[in-house]
Amino acid sequence: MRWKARGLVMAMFALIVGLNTAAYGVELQWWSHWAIEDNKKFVLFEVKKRFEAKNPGNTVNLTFYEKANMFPTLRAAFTAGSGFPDVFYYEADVPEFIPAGWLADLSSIRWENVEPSAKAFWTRPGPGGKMAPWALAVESASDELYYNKKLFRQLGVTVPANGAFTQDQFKDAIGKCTKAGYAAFATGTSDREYPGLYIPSMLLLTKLGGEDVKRLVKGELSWKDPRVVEVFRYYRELVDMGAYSKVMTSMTLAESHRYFHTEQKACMFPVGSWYTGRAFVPVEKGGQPKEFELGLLNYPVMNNGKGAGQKYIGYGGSFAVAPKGPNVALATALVNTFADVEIGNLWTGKTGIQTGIKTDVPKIDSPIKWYIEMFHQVNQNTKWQDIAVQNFKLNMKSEMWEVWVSVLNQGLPNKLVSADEAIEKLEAARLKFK
Amino acid sequence: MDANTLRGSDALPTPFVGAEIRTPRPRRPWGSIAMFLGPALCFYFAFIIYPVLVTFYNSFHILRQDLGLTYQFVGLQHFIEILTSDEVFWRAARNSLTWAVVAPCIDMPLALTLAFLLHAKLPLAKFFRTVWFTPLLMSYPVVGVIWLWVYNYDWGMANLVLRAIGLGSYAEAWLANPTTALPALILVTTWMFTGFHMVILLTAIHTIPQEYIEAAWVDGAGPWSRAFRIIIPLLRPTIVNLIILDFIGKMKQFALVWVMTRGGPMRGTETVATYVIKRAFEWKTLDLGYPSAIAVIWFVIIFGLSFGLTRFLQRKEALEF
Repeated sequence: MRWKARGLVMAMFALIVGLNTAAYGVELQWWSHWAIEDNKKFVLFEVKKRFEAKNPGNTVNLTFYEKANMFPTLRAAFTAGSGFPDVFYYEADVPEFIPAGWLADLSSIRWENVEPSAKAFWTRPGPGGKMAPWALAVESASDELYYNKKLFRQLGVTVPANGAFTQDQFKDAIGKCTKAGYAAFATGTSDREYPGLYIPSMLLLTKLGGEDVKRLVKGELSWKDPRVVEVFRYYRELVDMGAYSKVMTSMTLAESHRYFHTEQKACMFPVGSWYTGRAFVPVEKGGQPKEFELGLLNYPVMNNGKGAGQKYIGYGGSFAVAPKGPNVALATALVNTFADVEIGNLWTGKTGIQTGIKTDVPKIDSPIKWYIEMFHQVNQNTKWQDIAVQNFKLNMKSEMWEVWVSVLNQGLPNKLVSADEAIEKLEAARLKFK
Repeated sequence: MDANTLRGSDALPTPFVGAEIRTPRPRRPWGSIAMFLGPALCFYFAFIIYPVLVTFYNSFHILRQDLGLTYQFVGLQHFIEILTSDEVFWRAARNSLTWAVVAPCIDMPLALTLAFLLHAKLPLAKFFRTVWFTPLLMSYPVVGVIWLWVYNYDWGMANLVLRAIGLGSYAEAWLANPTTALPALILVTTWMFTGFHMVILLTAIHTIPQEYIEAAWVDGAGPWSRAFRIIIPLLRPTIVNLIILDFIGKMKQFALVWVMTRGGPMRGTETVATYVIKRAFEWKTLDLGYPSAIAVIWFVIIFGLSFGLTRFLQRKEALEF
């Protein structure tokens, strides 16, 4: 009798818990980057709202972290097997998460609403070599070269009709900027390891072309290739002209935006097209002043180059699901909420940044429509190469990436190494860490 | 009264005649000791001892985070690789050692000078004592951000002062050059910790009996002689302890570098601690064994050098006054 009574109590307890769970639903934990980017946050909260409306009783707790702190925390949580969220921000900074099995297979989401290249970007070998799409790329960003139209006008710099300077024209433009006391590039490398990589990478692309750049990044092409040497030497000439500000090393990414559009101390700004996420916010939140005249260039074209008209594009901010969480199906449904053309339109309209989600351009309603039109006009003939500067890390060994950052984000722009010394270091690293 | 005087005494019963009297030792209250020390010891073991032991264990393995913490024993492979072919480790070790040697050489004389000034009752001594001590109360991230602004090339205070006094040609991007970046960081820690050393030394100076100093004065010793021949020798144990603490602290330097330079430019400020963190948490490899081996090697080096420094600097005889 006693065990029957116990069984009955346990059954009633389970029923009560189950009913309560069904009644109150699940609270999904969602961690994201973009704490200070209001336009992007707007879209995330819209997704949250739509998910909660479609899944009554279930709620989403959205927390924002700086990604530099979030990724080590995620790494520790996944290793420990607990403390990780259901859905999390993901990008190419931590490519090792995929083969580690820390991202769930997202084959079931509505990929028909997502750009094929976005799906292809995150379809990689996972645990045990399994191929699957592991994340949904919400943010797509190309590496761009913005410029200050007013400064160019004042300094007598004329932008060619195709938006791309030749080697000599680029050098001339930089010379005019630096002679007038401006920096050519508003680059700050204090808190990021890639801002100094943009210009040399752009020059490498127009010289080598996309395929050879990929071979170079993967270590299949020597850094002593004459074309690479030519690019590095030309780049060092630009540095010697004072292309970078002396505050570069102590300037953060956020400060470099202000340096460009508010303080207007630099003529150009090489940065991802996610520039708009920080620039098109109210001025008091760090946005660019309304009167700032923003222009967009194509990459300067190296003489006899194979890559004229090419630009880097990659996928940045994405979202993934923790496969060992208690609510995988619901978490996948949350990510699936992004896979909607309306969300794609909302993202583009609000942020001005490309997206991996399909969009219906005529239906995009945006206060920055002028920018979207300018972007499409400058890039109408662009041949996109699906590898962005920040994504080089996906294709380089860690040791190689460290040397690449050390030489190109710190060494060369600060004149700490010559072009030839930089090439020696990169080639030595390529051979050592093959 | 001792046993001898008790022998043959009428006051004691016969069995006690000729016997040694022993006072029973009080019993230790082990239960109470365990109750009070237990929680602290558990905490100490869980958060200090256990991680150290696990780090030692991990250093002999490849520890794959992605395979559910799979251990693969590799013996001394990591240690051999670090010591024979890891150029970054040796660069970081050089930077850390430079910091640990140079910083005390600047901190101690400066702290001693400030302590003497306060001891000599300079005007507004209490105010200056507070001002000089305050930097220690700030956390490394706050200090790092402040000094990033100080070293800013355009509007940082360092270059503004140089330009104001006509030395604008010496204005530098202090954190952009490996030659100046490490000294710039050493200056920051000097700013942070000199006040702490000053307070300890000031307290130590106050414990020196005035008679010694007065006697020296009576004997005709001037202020410099009193300082260098009386006070400083009497402060030696305190100075040695501070030097050793300073040395160990700089050998473990991490937070300031992480905030200000992240080891750049071109590893110019890379310390062993920052290198360990990068290898453990920022590289694509998910192996914790290699960075654990770096941590073990550095632990042994710090322990050995600290022990040697202590033996070298400390006197065998203690000074008492």
